[in-house]
This record gives sequence, C-alpha cells and structure tokens, in this order.
Amino acid sequence: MRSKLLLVLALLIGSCGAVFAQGVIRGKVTDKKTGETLVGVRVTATSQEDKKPVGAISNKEGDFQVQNLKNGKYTLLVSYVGYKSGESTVTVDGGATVTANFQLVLDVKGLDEVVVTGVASRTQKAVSEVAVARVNASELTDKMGYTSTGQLLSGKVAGVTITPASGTVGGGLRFNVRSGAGLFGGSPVIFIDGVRVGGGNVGTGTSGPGVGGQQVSELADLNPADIENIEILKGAAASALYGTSGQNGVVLIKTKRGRGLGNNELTINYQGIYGFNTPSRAITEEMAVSYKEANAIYARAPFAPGNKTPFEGTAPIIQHGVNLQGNSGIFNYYLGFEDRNEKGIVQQNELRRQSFRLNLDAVTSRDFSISGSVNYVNNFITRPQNDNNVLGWLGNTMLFSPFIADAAANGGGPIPRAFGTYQFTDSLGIALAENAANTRRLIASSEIKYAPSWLPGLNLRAVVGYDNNTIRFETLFPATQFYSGIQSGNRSIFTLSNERLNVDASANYEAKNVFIEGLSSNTTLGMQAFNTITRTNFIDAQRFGTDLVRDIGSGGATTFSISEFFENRRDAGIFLRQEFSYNQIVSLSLAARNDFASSLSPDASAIFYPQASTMLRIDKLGVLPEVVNLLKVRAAYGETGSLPGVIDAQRLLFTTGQSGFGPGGIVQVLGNPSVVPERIREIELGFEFELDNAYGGEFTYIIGNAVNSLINVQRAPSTGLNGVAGGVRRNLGSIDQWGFESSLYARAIQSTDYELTFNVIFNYFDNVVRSIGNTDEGAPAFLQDGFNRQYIIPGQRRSQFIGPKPVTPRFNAAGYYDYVNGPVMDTARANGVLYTPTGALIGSPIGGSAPLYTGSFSINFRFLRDFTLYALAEFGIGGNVYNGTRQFHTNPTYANNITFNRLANQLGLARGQAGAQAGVSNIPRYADVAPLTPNTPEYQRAAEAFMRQDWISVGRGNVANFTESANWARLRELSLRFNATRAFNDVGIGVKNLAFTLTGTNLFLLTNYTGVEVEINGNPGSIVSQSQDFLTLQQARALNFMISLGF
Amino acid sequence: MQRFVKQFRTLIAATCLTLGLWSCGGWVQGFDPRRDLVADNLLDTTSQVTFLITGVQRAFSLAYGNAAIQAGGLSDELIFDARVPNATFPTYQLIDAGTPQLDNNSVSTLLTLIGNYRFLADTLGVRMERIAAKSDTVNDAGARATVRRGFFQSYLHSGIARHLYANYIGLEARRGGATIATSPFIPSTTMHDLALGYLNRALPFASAAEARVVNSIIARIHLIEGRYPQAQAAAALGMRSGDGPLQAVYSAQTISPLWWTEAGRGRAQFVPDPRFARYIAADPAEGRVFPGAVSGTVVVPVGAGDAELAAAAPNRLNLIGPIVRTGLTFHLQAIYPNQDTPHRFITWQENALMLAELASRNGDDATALTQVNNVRRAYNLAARTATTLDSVYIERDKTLFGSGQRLSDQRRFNRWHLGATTWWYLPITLPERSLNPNLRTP
Repeated sequence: MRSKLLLVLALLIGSCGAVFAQGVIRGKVTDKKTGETLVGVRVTATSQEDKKPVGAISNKEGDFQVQNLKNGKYTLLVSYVGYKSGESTVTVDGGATVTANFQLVLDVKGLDEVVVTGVASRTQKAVSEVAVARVNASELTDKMGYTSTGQLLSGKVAGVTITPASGTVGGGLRFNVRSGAGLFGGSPVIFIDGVRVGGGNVGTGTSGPGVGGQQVSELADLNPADIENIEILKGAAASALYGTSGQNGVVLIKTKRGRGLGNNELTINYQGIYGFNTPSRAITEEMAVSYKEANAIYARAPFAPGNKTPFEGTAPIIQHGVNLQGNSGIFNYYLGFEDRNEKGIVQQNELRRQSFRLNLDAVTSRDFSISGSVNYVNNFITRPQNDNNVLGWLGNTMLFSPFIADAAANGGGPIPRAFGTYQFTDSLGIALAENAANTRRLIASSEIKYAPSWLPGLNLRAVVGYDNNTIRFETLFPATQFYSGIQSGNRSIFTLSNERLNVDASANYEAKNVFIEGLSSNTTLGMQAFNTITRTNFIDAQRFGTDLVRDIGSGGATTFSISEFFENRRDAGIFLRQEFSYNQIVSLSLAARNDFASSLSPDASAIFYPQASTMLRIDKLGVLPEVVNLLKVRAAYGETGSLPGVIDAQRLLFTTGQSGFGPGGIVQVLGNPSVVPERIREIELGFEFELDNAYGGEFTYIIGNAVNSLINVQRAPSTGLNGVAGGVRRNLGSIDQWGFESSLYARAIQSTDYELTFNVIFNYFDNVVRSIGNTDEGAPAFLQDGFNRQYIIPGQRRSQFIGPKPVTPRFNAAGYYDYVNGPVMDTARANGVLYTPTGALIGSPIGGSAPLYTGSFSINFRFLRDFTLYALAEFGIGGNVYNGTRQFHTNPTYANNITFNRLANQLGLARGQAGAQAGVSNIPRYADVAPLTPNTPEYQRAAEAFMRQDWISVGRGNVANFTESANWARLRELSLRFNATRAFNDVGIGVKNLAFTLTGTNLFLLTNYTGVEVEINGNPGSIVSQSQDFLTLQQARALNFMISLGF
Repeated sequence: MQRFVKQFRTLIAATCLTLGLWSCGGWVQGFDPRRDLVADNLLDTTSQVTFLITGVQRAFSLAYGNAAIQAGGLSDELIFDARVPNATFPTYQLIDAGTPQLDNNSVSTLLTLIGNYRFLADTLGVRMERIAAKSDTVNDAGARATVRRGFFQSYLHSGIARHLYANYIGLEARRGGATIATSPFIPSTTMHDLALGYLNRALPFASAAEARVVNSIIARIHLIEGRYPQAQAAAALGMRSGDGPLQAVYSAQTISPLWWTEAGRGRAQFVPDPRFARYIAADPAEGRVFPGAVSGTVVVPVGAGDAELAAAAPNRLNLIGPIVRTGLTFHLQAIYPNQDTPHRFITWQENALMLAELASRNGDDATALTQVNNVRRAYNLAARTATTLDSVYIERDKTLFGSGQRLSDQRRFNRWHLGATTWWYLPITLPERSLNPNLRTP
C-alpha cells in the first residue's frame, strides 16, 4: 500500500518524463517594429512525433533555449501577452543546436487569440463570425483588487453593463446584456471551466430572508484572482447553440491552469491586499435635512478628522492570496487559496470568504488528455437592513427630519426631535439585529479530450460539471430590543441548496482542402444536458423573552412558521454545426439545435433553434493598403429562447389548504400544456478594423425581437380558476430591440520604457414592447411594479416610468396652495396620456430606466518601464431613477427635504402659518423664510415648484415628480503600479515578480441625479421594477494597497 | 477503424443524432416532481376522497363567509361608517350604499371564491364517477362508504355554490343570477333550479340527518323563489330541534370568518345596524352586550376574555360596545367573537322559521306561533302569544343575524331600505364581464 502511495505521489509531483539530452533550440525574440528585446516570452517546442511539448522563457536579453530534445521535427510556438504568436518548424538532428529567432508583431486587441464563438466552436478573434468579447481577468486582477466577478466585467465589455443592487458588499447584481433579450430581460448563463453554475441573486422572497431589496450574488462566491479570462457571447446570434438557456447571453469563465510544459516549473505567487471601504458620496443638506445623522452611520476613511486612532471607524479590506502554478511530469497544476475579509461602509455588512481551488491537467498520451478542477468556497456575508426598511440605519437616518415643528410655529426655528431621527428603531436595536448568509459551495469539473492519431482532424470532448451550493441564512432580532411587527424577538433560519449537474459532449471533425484547395470544413455534433435541483427549508419563530437564549426551538409556538420547497428541472439539447472556410478569408457557418426541457409538456412541439453566420476578411483580398492589417465584415443570425417555469405546462395541480375542517385539496396551478418557450431572434451585423497593428475598433449593429413571450392570463372567475397561481402562462408577448455596440482602441506609444493604450466603449440600446396579449383573452392591459411606477406596456420601452403629470396648482378660497385637493393633472390623450382599454387613466410616459447610452473609457500608461497608471471611467446616459427617498422626504410627517420645507414656508402652509392645512401642518417654520402673498406671480411660481414636490400618490403625480433623469459618469477604477521585479533582480534578489500597487474604486462621480446613488437597482431580480431608489445604500469607494510577489 | 469511421462517418453522425434526440426527450421528462403539488389525475382514488372533500369544505368556508359579509353590508344588517376606527374600504362603502361599481374588487374576490368553490365541488363529483367505476371500489365496503360521502359532499356543495350565485350575485341592479364556466347569463331562478338538481342528487347519498339539512336548503331556495308549496314540503322534511347546523369552520392559524375579521374584532369595516342594540335593550335576554373600547385602530372587549365571549355565542344576538366616535355610536357583532368561531350556514331554527312563515302565509297562525316559540325557547326567550307574518320577519332578522339571509328577506318582503336604482345583488364585476365571451358587450 505504501509503495503504491509513493508511486502515486511520484506520478503527481515527480519527474516522470524520461529526458534524453540531445538537441537544443535557441534564439532571440524581439519586437518587429522597435527591434527591442522581449523578456519573459514563452516558447514551446512540440514534437511532431509524440506531441509532447517542452518549454522555455526568454531572459532579459530576449534569448531563449529549449534543451534536451530528441531528434525530430518540432513546432515552435512563441507567445507573449500583447503580441501575435509566432510559429515555425525546426528539425533537430544529431544533437545539434538549432537557431530560431522571432520578431513578434503587436496584437493590441488579441486578434490572434483563440476565442469562444459558440457552444463548441473556437476560432481566432480575427476570423470570428460573431462579436466576441474577452476580458483578460488575470491582467485586471494584477491592477485592481476586486471583490467579485461582476466588478471584473463592469465597463470592460461592449454591450454589457452590470449594475449592483446597492453598495452592500457581496450584494446582488443585474446584468444588462445588450437590450436584454426577452420581454423580461434576465441574467446570462454562466459556465466556469465547463461547469454551468448559478450566477443569480438570492436572499429575498422565496430565496431567503430579505433585508429590503438587497440580495446576495452567487457570483460573489468566486475568487477573482483565480480567473484567467472571461468570454461573453452576448446575443442569440452567438449563443443560439446554447439553446434555451442562452437567451441572455453566455458568460464563460476560465480559471488559471498550470504552466511548465514538462519542465517541472513552479511559480509561487502571493497577493496581499490591504484597503478600506469608505462612502463614495457625502450626504448634503439638499439630499436630506438629516444629513448629519445620515453621514454619521458610514465608516470613516483612515486618518479622517475625528478619528482617535488612524484607523478608528474604518471598514477594512484584508486579503491574502497564494497560488502555485507549475508542472510536474505529465501534470500541469494550479493551486489557489484566498482569504478575503471585507467590511462594508455601514455596520453589519461584511464578507469573509475562503476559497480553495485545484486545477489539474494531464496529458496521458499523445491522443488523450484529461483535466479537472475543484473549487471549494466558504463565503460568509452579513447584510444590513436597508432599502424600504425601517429596521436599519438608512431608514432611521434618512427618513425623519431631526427637527419637529411645534415650537417653531412661533418663529423660533426648528427644535430637535426627541430620539433624533431614530423614530422607528433604536440605534442599539439596529446594531444588534443580525442577518447572515453563509455559503458553502463546491464547484468541480472534469474534462476529457481525445484526438485519435489514426484520424487526424477528429476531436472528441466531454465535460462533466457539478455545482453544489448551500446557503444558510440566519436572522436575529433580539428579544430585548423593540422592532416594529416583532413580538419579543424573532429568529429565522432559511437554507437554500442548489445542486447542478451538467454534461456537455461534442465531436468535431476538421477536414482541409475539401472540394477545392484551401477550403476547409469543420463539423461539430454535440449535446448538452443540465439537471438542477433546488431545495429550501425555512423556520421562523418569535417570542423569545431573552436575547441570551437564541435557539429557534425556544421561540413561541404560536408564531412558528415552517415551509419547504423542492424543484427539479432538466434541460437537454443536441446540436449540429457545419462551417466552411476558405483560407480564413471568407467563412460560412450553418447550425441548428434541438432542445428538450422538463418545463414543457411532453406533447409540446420540438424546440428548434437555427443559426447562420459568415465573415469576410477584406484585408486579405489584396485591395487595401498594407497599413490595414485587419478589415473584417461579419453577419450572423440566431434564435434562442426563454423557458417557462417548471410547472407552467402542467394542466392542473393540487396542493393542501388548511382550514377549520383540516387539510384539504385545493387547486394551486392551472398550467398550459401547449406553452412553448419565448423565442428570441437576433441579427448581428458588424465590422472590425485594425491599422498598423496599433489602432483599431469594432462596431456591431444588432436588431432583433422576442415573440411568444410568456404572459400570465387570467381566466374568467366563473371558471373557478381565476386567480390560481396568478393565471395561465400563454405565449402572447413580444418586444422589438435594437442598438449598437462599438469600441475603439489604440496603442499610441510602444517602447521599452513607455507604453500607452486607450480603449473606448460606446453602446446604444433601445427597445419597445409590442404586445402583451389581448385583454379580452384575459391578458393584462399592462404589467406594473408593486407601486404603480414602472410598466411593461405596448408601445413603450420596457420598464417605462408612467404616471399622471401635474399641470397647474390648485388654490383654495383664501388663495393658498390647495394641498388637500392637489394639483390639476394632465389627462389629455392629445398629450400622449395613456389610458387602459376600460378608460382608466394610467398617465404620461416619463422615461425608461436603463440608460440608453452606456460606455467606458480606459487608459493604461506604462512609464519609466516599471510604473503603470491605469484608469477606467464609465458612463450611462438617458436613464431615469425614481427617487423614493426624496419622495418620502416631502411627506410632511418626515419633512426632510429642505427645498420642500422652505417652499411650504413661502406658501404659508407650514406649522402655524395662515395657510396651514391638513396634511402639511407638520412642516417646521423657518425663521429666515418670508411668506409670499397669495395671488401674486411670486406665489404662483412657488406653488408650481411645490406642486412638483407632491409626494402623496400616483394620482397626484408622484411618479412624474420623483422620477429623475439620471445621467452619470464615474471614475470607476484607478491604479498606480510599480513593478519592482527588475530593480530587485538588479540588486541580486531573484524574484519572478514583485509589484506594489495603489488602487481606488468609485473615486469620482458626476451626475444630475439628486439622490445619493445614481447607479441603482433596488431589486436586481425584479422583472418590472428597476432603478427605484428608496433608502438604497450607496456604492463604496475602495482604496487598496496591493503587494504581488512571485518566485 | 480509421477506414470504418471515414467510410461511415455520415452514418455514425446520423446515428448519434438520432440516439441523442431520443434519449434527451425521455431524460428531461424523468424529473422529480414538486413535493408541494400533486397532479390532478393522481387524486382519483378512494384514499384521496377525504382530502378532496375537506378542500371543498374549505372553499365553502371562504365563499360563504365572504358572501355573508358582503350581503350583510348590502342589506340593512350592517352599515359602513368611516368614523369606525380603521374602516377605510371604499368597496365596502359603496356596497353599503347599494352602489357597487363594476370594478369593485371585493365583489370580484367573492366571484373568484364562489367560482373556485363551485369548480372544486363539481370536479369532485366527476372524479367520484371515475372512482366509483373502479372495480376495487365496488368490491370494498369501506370504499363504498367513502364513495357515498364523496358523492354526497360533491352534490351538496355544487348545489350550495349555485345557491350562492343565485342569492347574492346579479347582472343588473334588480336582476339576480350569474354565469358558470363562462356560460351565458343564468338568471337566479334558473340558477336555483340547477342548485335544486344537485341537492336532489345528494339526497340518495345522505344519512337521515344529512337529508334533513339538504331539505332545509331546498326549502330555503323554494322560499326565496316564492314557491311556497314546494318550500312547505321540503321544510317538513327539514332540520329538527336538536339538529346541529351546517356551518363553515375556521381556525385562527389558517382562515378566519370575515364576520370576525371585517365586522368584528379583527378590523371592523362593517358594524351592525343600531337596531340590533335596540333589540337587546328592549329585551336583555336577546343577547349580551360586552363593554368595549378603542385600542389603537381596533375595538376590543373590556373585561371579557375569548372564553367568555365564546361561551355566549349560542345567544341569538351579542354585541361589543357601545363605542362613541365623533358623533357615531356603534357596536361590533359578537356572535362570531373569535377567529375560530364557526359560521352558521343553515340551522334548525331557520327551518322552524320557514315553517312559521309558510304557516303564516297560509293563515295557520297557530302553527306559526308554535314554530316561532320553538325557536325562542331555544334562546331562552319568553314565548310569544301571537304572531304575524311581520313578526316572523323580525324573528328572522334576529335569529338569522350574521348568516347572509337578510338580503333575500328584504327582497322577498319588499322591505328595501335604499333608493329605487340601488343594487339588490352584488354585481358581476369586470373580470367576468370582460373574460366571459358570452357576457362581453360587443
């Protein structure tokens, strides 16, 4: 047994490959344009006989030497970040030394990199038929300290925006991929090393206890430092072969793999991050009269005025990461460990994550390779109570004004309110409330590749992926504190478990020179299967009596709540793709996929998705000047879909309903066996160009639609099935979508000591809802959020803000502003005012939520050879945000808006003034505000301004009054990095890598939005409700110092 | 191998494709079902009949409880006054005024509940036919008893559901009736005939006591329709003194009677007409008046606990109050004092009063007096010495308080308390009018 173990260990870590010292290949690698030597270039010599690779790295003179080569022909591949790869064939004979020099050409945008273009297709970016996007994550994590994968992607990819739900560390995210695919948008499907993982948001409603609108993102479980790159297939034209799961695009995350290629190399890297989260914006008096109280809840910056010690009251970020990357015998391995501890900008928000990853690759024979990955994460996130929540800090510092009206009625000025702004919950109660989400997650995959030598061109590949996460939410409101709606304490435990298993297999056959010389054929046949099981259980109890005994079983029996949920879903698909390419100048691909899903009736018709794409490299036709090294036009069409829920196609399902008679059978689901997936179609037209290997860009125009969108249709009450499960799902909706994504890039300077690159992304996307069905068939006239602010309604953008607009103020008999009856509203259809089919007023369209124009600008400047300055700014234009916090500030009960308060004083409506009326009499008097005289032009103007502060109801115009244009530009990322490797090596301290970096996130914001946080998305999982800000936590400004050490 | 693969690669690919298509389709349908849901076809066994009956009874409790309070509001039994603490439902306010609009959400909810109740009862009957046809049911005595119960409960509740439609719902202000499964409009009389059809089908499956309940319901329907001989015949076979009522049953943890939640201690939207307090003032034996006070947004009894209130529930009338608010003096009802107090649908006392009314209409005052006094004796009230049709009407007002009968009584006795254009029924609301193609206005 022991000897076997030793053998296994030897296989794992020993040098098993027999080495025969014979020939040597040596050479020098230089930049073709500048002639400068390139240091650290990876050179791989692969024997054409046994396919075994041997590697070497160029030294500081640019020289490399591959040793111990047997006689034979070798393919030399030279690769270096930022350069196009070089390749040549050399013959080693008789132990001689062969020389092979390389002059590499810049590859600013990775045109030579092999990128994913579909479910089983990969090609060089330069010949891709669809718009592809790759984020070189490992480069970014060298520059910045990211908390989550979402941050890694923000602003990096044309056509993709990522909006956090709030500033909560580990909080939920919303992906906006192009125009959002189907009628209801949604998130892309995410694969990590072939494992289909959950990337959604959990932690409200049926997926855990909420703390307002915030959720926890499953993407916060991943260690960004483990990621090598992220590729995104953005629309149906590219993702069609992913089938019904790919309706919102596909995100393919590839983690770091081992390196060494038989040389027994080992690199050990350490990255330490030490930093702080601080609020990115200070609350001003214009935002809230209670601005002092509101600002007091946030963590302070280091060395902030008032700190008793330099770091008192700060929200630290501490991360240690170690990874080992190397080779031993037939194995390449990557071993990564991360421990991150990050505190948010308000108390009770913390992320503690430990991540362990092992990636192994083995080449067992020249035909056969296997690889495997295991990632285990323990992620502990605590969340504060925010967003529409009176139990948290924001609800108790951003709602009530700290002043009351009474004494001020005599003109004495506002006086402090008893207990300050903490009118709902005491500050000690807030501090002692707990909400924690503890995730334990295992993600594992194994991949087998087989390329039989007896049939060159055939490649077989199979991947099995497994994602198992269990999230345990625990909440506690201690019995000794008072909380609204809670009797003597409350504790709940919610456990959410997701088990996902996917199997992907494909066979690819490539044949060259078919029919004519230069024409190659590539055929792929494959399948995907996905099985997911979700389990939850929930217990909740109140009446504990003491905070010292918190066992949930000790809670009061009459307030117990217990529930369980189980759901299993299976999807599968089989696909076939045929590509023809002529000398990589022109290519054409045709593909199709047939899908199956357990959420459809067995009788449902087959789900068939076609795809076609083509590209032409005009630069290779010889008609363009040589300076144009790339000009490609491409076109693609694809279809995909969005599945109904698991039970939507099941005709009639019963459940148990309790009553005094006992448990009895009641109808719970009325399904529609003929329901089919929503179908999403997309045409993509684009071009890419590059000049002089340094300047380039790409542009893609997208037009598409979604049809058969799923709408809940009500049955007539007399059927007995009205109201069951919200209605029957029918394929009635449709939406048109269009827009473009573009980017420009330039490497303006390139030398040994200086390098300057720019990258600009600019996107425009819009949509219009065409139909949600006929009201006569039971379809709703519109879909709206719970507060009647945002709509999905034909003729308008998705999630359009709609509401009656106030036109002119009313005045009472005494000439004062008539607060009781409110302003006169715009009801004229001629003004575009919308009505329901039955004639009820809906209101005027005010604006969409998501920005119409988004983009980013980034710059990377390396100077004095070893210093690098990196900056990324993002922007969004043409969006709107509902400022629910301001709405509540103009509720006279809170009287927390200075403009509103002063206007009320001018109009004589405040406490004790001549025009005081029911509803506004709580507004304090301001001694410095002189009342205006009714029936004067000044009074009219003030009344018109006041009218636009009316908070009361949708009917009185609060949607129009508080939906604000929300354009913004943000300095998202900034870093200054000093690469000390050369300096240390020069003084004889041998390290492979040593760098010191200072970084900042969310450093500067420019916006016309009057609230605290403009990039807002209160409920990332909501279909209709987007961009509604109510007590939403602002994003943090993070300042980090990073040390990277490799040896 | 190489030659084989090359030669037959198209065939191999086609075979893989076919196998993949075949196996994928089967695999995805092999998923584990939800644990909280059961497919309709799996309930076609005798072992599930009790579960299904209980579901129908639950739906009955919801539908009847909702109908009874809205009928009470539309009639002169309950009043809506915004001065009652937390009485804010505009839908109830309009019902009380006899002017419910076609978009009245409260009535829409009632239509949904009656529809759901009717669907569950009807489908139970259809299911019982399938279960009864199974050979293992036919040969098992225990199963046969279950089948009998299943048929009885199905037909009973299919009948009651149609009675609720006929008695409470209308297409126009004075035109009662409803629709079933998107049918054309069915007038009340026709709807009641449908109800009688189901109730008569229930009788062969009924025990003796159950048959008396069914006959009392049949008598009520005939009485409403003015068919006095048929009502007399059915009432004669109806419930007797000592028979337990047919009632909706609730529990504090699941569903509570709306007469508790919305006309009682829950959040009173409706309060009893002041005459009920006068009834008790005139004869304290009619019921108890528990002192009450406003606490926050609700009225609570002062000095009496749940048990004491429950102990008084057999009284004919109980109230909590009086409460005085801004010039309004009102009481809460206390015959359904707790969240788990059952809600009487039909009682032997109602059957006795039907016999009294029918006798009175026939000029048989002696029988009428006997029946009235039978009822009064049950409530420990002094016997009357004489009775008239009008006094029977008043006895019904007191005895059937809170059971939803006042609305039809006002119609039958032509004692409508509101204007000439006001609604006698709760209207078929917009969801049915727009989603029922047979009802939609072109």
